[in-house]
Amino acid sequence: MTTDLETRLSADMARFTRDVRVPAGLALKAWRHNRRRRATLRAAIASGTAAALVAGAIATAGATGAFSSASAPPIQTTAYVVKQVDKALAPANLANLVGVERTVFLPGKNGEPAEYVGTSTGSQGTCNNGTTLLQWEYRGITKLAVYTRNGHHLFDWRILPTGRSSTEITQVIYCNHTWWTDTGTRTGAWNMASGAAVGWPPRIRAWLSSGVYRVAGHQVVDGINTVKLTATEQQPTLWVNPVTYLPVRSGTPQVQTDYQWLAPTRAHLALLDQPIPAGFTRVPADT
Amino acid sequence: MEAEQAAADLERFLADRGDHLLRTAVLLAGSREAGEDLLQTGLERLLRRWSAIEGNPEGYLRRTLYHLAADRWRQQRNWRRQVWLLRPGLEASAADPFAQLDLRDSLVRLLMQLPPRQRAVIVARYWEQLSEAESAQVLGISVGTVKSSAARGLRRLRELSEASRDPREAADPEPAWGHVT
Repeated sequence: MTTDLETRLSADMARFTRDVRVPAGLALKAWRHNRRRRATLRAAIASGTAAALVAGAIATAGATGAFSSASAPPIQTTAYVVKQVDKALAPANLANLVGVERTVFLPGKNGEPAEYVGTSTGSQGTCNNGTTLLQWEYRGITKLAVYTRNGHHLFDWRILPTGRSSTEITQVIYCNHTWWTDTGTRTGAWNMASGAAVGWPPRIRAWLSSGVYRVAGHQVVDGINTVKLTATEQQPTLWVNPVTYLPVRSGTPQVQTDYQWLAPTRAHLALLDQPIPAGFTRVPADT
Repeated sequence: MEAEQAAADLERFLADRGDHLLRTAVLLAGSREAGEDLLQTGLERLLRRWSAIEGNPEGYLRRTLYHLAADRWRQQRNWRRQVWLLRPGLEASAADPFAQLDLRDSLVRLLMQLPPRQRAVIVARYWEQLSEAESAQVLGISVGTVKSSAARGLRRLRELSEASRDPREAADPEPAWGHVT
């Protein structure tokens, strides 16, 4: 027996999808994407041979603690891994990936966050105590969202390059329901956003270029048997994917960042949008 | 050449059945964009198996869509578990894919609050109009599980529907990063 709810459900689903039509060229798009995937796989298999050799060297050294001994080529191994990470993070190789980074500032000895990740101040009041930051990056566009430890959404930034040296920056401040947007160069109160606009890949490449990182074995992070790279106490430890050499995690005892690298599908690119919630008031730029 | 022929065959197949399959994908994924992504991924898998599939590819593609949707739900659940601290308040409703849609579709909106299996069974039974046995085959579960999931799903939908006559108040906004897979 069909109930009223079932009838309504079927009708609602039909209404919800009534305007949905397959976009032209979807089959061709799928075919092209498949072809690229096969090419990437072939390349990964080719480089996987080298990766396996490196992994073998790391495993051997890790088991024997012989990184500094003559039996393992520690400098070459580290150099190889660092070079591959640097290459993986080059702008050309990231052009078709959406980077998603989640940074958490961990509690210190007193249970308080070790550091606050952001404060939005100015004539419209203050939103602080941000401890968690989500950041999305794609071809120069950066969006970041700041939350408190309890998940309260404080504010968003979206930085959009509009020219060689100019950017459009938009901030939506959830704690006082305001927003502003401005264009120009990076100055004054934009420091935080400007810092974010630098992006994680260049920062990581800068860390590695310091020459102090060493391969310190393998560690499973989020189900991936990553290669662990350590430096001095002041610099973050880095965990990288052993096949793609893209970072999986970086961190110090106070701050931890997890990375994801996504295909630029429409849904993923939508994460870089900065909608202005209904009812929010536009205010002068926070400069 | 063989691959290009497969793409041309696929284009013809989509001209015939694409709209219905995309609508299924949209209902499974929760938004038009995510539905298109889901269908495209399903088509890519279909192309990889094209030469091995005898007869109508629709069955394979439909099974793939349901399995991919389940995988994405699992990944999203794992991701959300990691970012539970980040659950936004209602102010994030701008990211809700339903916010700009016709609110008369309130049951579809509530459907997205069901657990993955119940949601899939409801789509199979009440959108695709599959029998319990056919739904079980597509979803790779027993007929008994289809029956119990459908019953629980409908009961939950009824509760949600009654609890909130105004869908805007009933909605639990999807976090902006809900599409992360």
